[in-house]
Amino acid sequence: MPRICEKSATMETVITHTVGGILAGGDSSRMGTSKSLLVVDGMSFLERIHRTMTAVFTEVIVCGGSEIPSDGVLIPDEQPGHGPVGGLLSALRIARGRPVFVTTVDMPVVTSEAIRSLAEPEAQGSTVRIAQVAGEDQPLFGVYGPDVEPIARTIFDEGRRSVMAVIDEVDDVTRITIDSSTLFNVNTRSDYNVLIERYGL
Amino acid sequence: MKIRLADDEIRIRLNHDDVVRLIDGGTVDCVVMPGAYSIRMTTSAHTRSEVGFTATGIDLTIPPGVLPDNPNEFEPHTWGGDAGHPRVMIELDKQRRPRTRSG
Repeated sequence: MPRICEKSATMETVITHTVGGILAGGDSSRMGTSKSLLVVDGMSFLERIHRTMTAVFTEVIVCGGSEIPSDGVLIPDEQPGHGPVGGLLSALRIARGRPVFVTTVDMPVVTSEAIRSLAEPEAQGSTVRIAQVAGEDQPLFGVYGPDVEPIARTIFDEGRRSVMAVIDEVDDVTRITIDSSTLFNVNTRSDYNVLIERYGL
Repeated sequence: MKIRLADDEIRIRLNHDDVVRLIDGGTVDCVVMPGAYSIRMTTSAHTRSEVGFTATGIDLTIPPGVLPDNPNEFEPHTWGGDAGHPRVMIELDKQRRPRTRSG
């Protein structure tokens, strides 16, 4: 059974210009239990993603939810239960004028290499750079420039909860193809079973 | 150490080693945002605990009298927020085991 391996980050520069954000505020309704605490290959999803992110960024925050990884910082959602736009807003607010890279807690096998392919170079203005898998946009794995904050705020205040609504309002969007296995997304117990069969508990 | 930052409350969960360091008279630092915001905890001979807010962080002084002999018996400690500052809570992190499939 393969282990989830990461290349050593010791030879790579840690990114300081961008804040890493882990969106963990979902209610995991289809899973029926908190996805942050699910385990793969001996580590919870949240701890695993946090470890990967802290190897890439000097600043990593968890947006939403209630679990905090070791040596982690949690920023509760402004309004819990209002979708990922709220988490994106929290990250942009904390970043104070810097871009943010966001990923979600239900993609536990993301690699630092995939993150770097999107987070470097620094996203200026309202630049957005998101992953694309098999032709499908993955807006919850990407980097958002600081000027996206007012756009996301408007979308949020209008009651729209899809990050794609934010993407639709931005002119400068770059899509980068990422391998589907890297962005394996766990939403249901059957998804989780596939992950466990692949990597073990 | 784990930190939960909200507008009106900062909750700091110390781990066992952090409490040991405080009991030994040491300092526990946490850089929340490098170059921007940090939290520093120290002990002092003063009998009162103190919390100080600066533009770049929080300084907490914990008197030795509130520190237990056994780190696992560290009691939660709270400073009430005032003057627009958030409430600050320190507690011992209860290490929970992650859930497995059985939930």
